[in-house]
Amino acid sequence: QPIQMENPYKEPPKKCVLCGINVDYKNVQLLSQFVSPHTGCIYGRHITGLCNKKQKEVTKAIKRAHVLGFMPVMFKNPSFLTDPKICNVKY
Amino acid sequence: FPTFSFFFFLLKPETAAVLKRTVEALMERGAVVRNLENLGERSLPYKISKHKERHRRGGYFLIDLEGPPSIVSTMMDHLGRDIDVIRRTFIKHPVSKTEECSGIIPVNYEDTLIAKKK
Repeated sequence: QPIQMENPYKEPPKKCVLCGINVDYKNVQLLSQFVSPHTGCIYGRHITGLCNKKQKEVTKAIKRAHVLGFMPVMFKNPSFLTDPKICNVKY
Repeated sequence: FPTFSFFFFLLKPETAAVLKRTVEALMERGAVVRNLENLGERSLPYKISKHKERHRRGGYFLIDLEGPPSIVSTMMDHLGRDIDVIRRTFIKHPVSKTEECSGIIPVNYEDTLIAKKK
């Protein structure tokens, strides 16, 4: 008779890129990685691949950085253009 | 007393005098200043026009406060009249609790679709 048990080969739940990293409106470099270099618009969830909470946090932080004068709005800061690619954008 | 982190940034010259003025004003209203951080002086991401002047460079400062919430409106008013302060905000102290991030839970799309068919 088969015994009922939890799937022993279950993989741990997939983590998004920012899982465990504290998102702050002050670290502009991290936030700029989720912004388009040409227009400066924030990438959507289907591009960044973040979980609900983190996407919301990042959006809020980016908006805050815009208002407080930390991050440019219409473009991406040129010194951060050579950062590694996190989002799966196709240029 | 709830903790705020108060952030404002201003022009480069006369920095010490402006800082002193604001901190004294804060102490007057009965706030406890915990920490004062200088986030450096850098060129602003966009030109800001304030008080009939166009600014391109500014010094960023961050003050950690503890005080009653009634300070907020009075301080915003007070700093709005200060020519040397370009932008001012009060932000609630960020309580960082990111150790419970459990990862992406796979959403079962079948259930949502079949339930809607009723």
